[in-house]
Amino acid sequence: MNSKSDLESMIRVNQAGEYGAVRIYEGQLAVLKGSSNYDKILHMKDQEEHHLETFDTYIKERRVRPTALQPLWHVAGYAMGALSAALGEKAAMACTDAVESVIDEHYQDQLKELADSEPELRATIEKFREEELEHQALAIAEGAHQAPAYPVISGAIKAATRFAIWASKRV
Amino acid sequence: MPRREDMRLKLVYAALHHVPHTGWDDVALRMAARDLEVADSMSWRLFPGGINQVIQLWNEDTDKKMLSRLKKFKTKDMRIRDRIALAVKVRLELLAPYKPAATTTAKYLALPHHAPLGSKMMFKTVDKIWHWAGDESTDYNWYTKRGLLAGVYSSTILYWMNDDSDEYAKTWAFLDKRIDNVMKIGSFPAKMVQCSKELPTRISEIFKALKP
Repeated sequence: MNSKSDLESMIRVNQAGEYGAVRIYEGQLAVLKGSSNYDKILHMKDQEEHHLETFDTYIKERRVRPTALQPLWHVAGYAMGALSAALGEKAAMACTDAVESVIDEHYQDQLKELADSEPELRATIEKFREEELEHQALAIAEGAHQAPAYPVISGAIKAATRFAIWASKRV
Repeated sequence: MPRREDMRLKLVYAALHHVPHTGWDDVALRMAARDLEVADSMSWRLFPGGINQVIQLWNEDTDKKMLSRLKKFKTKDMRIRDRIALAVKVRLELLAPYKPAATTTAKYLALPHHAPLGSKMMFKTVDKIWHWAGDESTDYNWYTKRGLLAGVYSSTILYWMNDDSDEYAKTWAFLDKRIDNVMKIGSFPAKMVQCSKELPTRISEIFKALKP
């Protein structure tokens, strides 16, 4: 790996992913106003916003083309967050659990691909990956696995997230 | 500059004198090689990719010269639209000594099978202009900005090719008007996006209403 275009695609998909994550949490927060989990979700959203800002900076500094699908993730991310939250707080947590587990795999793949190159980007991804894992742990602690129809929700959301990653690498 | 690169550029600019008469083909390159008193084979050794590679290098070199000229301007208090107009103007001024060759090139690139090359070069140029003008967009604006500038630039260069007014005064007026137009329709994509941005909020309002 490590042709310039591989690296650019990596930054593009990460920026798109963090954008989508912010939108998912925004969608959940809009539905779950006043719930006991509100502050926890808000905290996760704040962390995703920081991730997004970081990858925005990479996009600007390295002159990477951002994904053309951003308007789609804007709507789809929010809709996924709002929909899952509408099914209940545990379903919202199941959504977080599913998304973050796919993101964890995705960041692990990137770390493997980067190997010893790009130490600064590596450190960023490592740190963000840890935070995504914290989000997943929190979601499980809040009852993600007890959500109604958990395997169905989880499977659908994982598939959607994998598709979004696949598409954002390319488009 | 390494000698090979130097020679490549010399061959490009020598060819530009022949292109208006021969069109973009190997004859122009052979004649350029003769002008420079090198073997005919030099042209394909320096440009194994052929004519398209020659055109690309000319384009890259013009972009490079454009950026180094633009560096001399103080842009701090300049509006974005004026920066864009300035960049287009500087680029056309760089092409002016080779206007007949630029016209031949435009015709060459207008052929359907050369469209990918044309749009690739156009993209590189407008991307450089936006970067110089200080664009920092990381969302869909990145695309609308580059797309709109590609439209402005290509229509302006076509106008310029038929413009025989003094110092291209008519072209610069045309350019300003084109940018005016873009600023007006600029609000159209913005409105569409605004509408799609509000959509999820509306959806979540419906969900909230449905919640027990």
